[in-house]
Amino acid sequence: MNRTQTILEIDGISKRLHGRGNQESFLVLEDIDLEVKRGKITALIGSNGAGKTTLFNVISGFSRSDSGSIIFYDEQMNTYNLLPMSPYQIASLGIGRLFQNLSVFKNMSLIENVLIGSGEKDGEFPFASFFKKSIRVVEQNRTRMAEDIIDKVLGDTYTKTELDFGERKKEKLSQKFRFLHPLSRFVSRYKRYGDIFDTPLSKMIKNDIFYRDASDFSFGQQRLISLACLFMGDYDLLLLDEPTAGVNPQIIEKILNAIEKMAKESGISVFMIEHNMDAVLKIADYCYFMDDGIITHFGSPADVLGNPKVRREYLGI
Amino acid sequence: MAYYLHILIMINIYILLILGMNLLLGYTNLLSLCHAAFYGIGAYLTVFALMKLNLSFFPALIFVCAGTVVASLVISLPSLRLHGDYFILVTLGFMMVVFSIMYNCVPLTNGPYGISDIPRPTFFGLIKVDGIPGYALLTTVLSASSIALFKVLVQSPFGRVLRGIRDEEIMVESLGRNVFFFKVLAFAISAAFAALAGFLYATYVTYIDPTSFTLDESIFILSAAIIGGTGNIIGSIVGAIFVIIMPEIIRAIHIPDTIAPNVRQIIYGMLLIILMYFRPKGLLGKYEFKK
Repeated sequence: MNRTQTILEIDGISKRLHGRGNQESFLVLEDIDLEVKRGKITALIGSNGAGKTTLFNVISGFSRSDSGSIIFYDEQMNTYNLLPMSPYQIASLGIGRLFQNLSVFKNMSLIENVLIGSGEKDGEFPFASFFKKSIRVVEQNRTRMAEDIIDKVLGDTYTKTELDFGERKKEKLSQKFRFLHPLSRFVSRYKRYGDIFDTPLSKMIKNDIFYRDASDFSFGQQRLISLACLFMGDYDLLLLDEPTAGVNPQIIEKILNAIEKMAKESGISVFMIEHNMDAVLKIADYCYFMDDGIITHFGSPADVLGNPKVRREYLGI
Repeated sequence: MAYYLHILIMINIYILLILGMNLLLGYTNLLSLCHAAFYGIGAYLTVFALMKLNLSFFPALIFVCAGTVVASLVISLPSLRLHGDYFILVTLGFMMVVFSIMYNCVPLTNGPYGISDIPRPTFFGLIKVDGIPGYALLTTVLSASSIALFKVLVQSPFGRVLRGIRDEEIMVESLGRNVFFFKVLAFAISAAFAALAGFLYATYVTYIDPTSFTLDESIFILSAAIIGGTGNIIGSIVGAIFVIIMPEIIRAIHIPDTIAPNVRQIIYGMLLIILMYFRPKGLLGKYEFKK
């Protein structure tokens, strides 16, 4: 094995789930061996209940395996055994995770959802800004970066309703603060009211959208928000659990482009579970097929998906 | 006038208590039943700081808050890895233990007889805060400063992580944040707010006994936080004003003293039921507690 080409090496991972009462225990992962290549997109496919998410949970520390080892190689070729680590330690090494069923912090605004993913943790100690003035600058930079990422990831998904809403809001604010408009030209403290009149509508809409609760967005947009959150972090490897599940074709395209761009341009390695075979064929470099907790096939996506056994057992063709 | 100032002082003290509770409930999704324990620990440590150590205002305040934070670690370190009902039960147990110590450890706390003649604090050994107007001013300044501090705290990156924990703990952990550590910090800060309230209460009333720091008081603070609404600051202020002014309103409409406390309990109970049904976020809350 060439270490420089491998970012994650899984060796002999097994996990047994113990049933309650008289129920028998069963192996959900059986002697899993696999490798994720650096800077490449590796797909993991398999039917529901095959153990794919369990494997992701083991890699990211949310579940413990009974045996085996998981080695992560960082950019400096330091090796880390992930098994004894807790999830936050694993994430701090540079392994990000997109969950299948959780996507956003629903009661937080869009911008906060992205900001919380920042790899820069300065200022997260209580009252840190009192002791270190530079933290305000760090936070401003972080916010700018988050706004840029949101623009790139979500920019053209704003719906007509959202645009109409922005327009109505601008009209409403203009009416409300009309009496301050003359003042805004002369008295600096009223400048922000003047901004309502002078700010371009696109900026107003963006500001409105940035500070709207994440739960107000469509499911597809929420999926993009969770990806934007991962882009804020400083990750070497991303574990993406069904990134395109339940979203419309237009957003699927956007998600796939974003993932591909990350791998090709930023050199981030991606290990993703996916049921959308077009997506796998389009962006994945390698593919593993998992059946009942066992890795049975590995190769290029075309090879694996073209395998008669995989076609019969997974695709039902 | 003194009557209105007394109301103001009590509102200020309860704002501190409810802010602390709000940090746990509304920002971290932790339901604690031991807030009165920290309130009591703060009050008894105040007695120790002022009567035994003869500290002046600021050193006494720092001593009381630091002592209560240490006490909060005793409960938070072993219990904050638990979730939901289990965590609530541990805080309930801690409340019982602290109350039992306050009630039965007579050499330390004077037990049910309480401690009287608590001195009013002095600033730098020179200026003594005495009288109701002075106390109204002091509590208003401290309560306003605490609100400002709380605002800075919850709007900072620290507050953002807490709100993340409130919404999806697992996702915060997967973003590289040690959720347990943040919860311990939130619990400690919440206890420090309660300790400040205990400090002001002990020095204002100049007499404390364990009956002021019971499980009922914890539930009362929790109800006030829920009535006002959690997840923002205004809800805590409204909650404090509501729970302090309402008994006075009941008194003003001449309900006999013998049944007034019961009527108050009935109204609280009804309000909680109505609120939980029609407005689970509280009067002005932003966030609805989830199990």
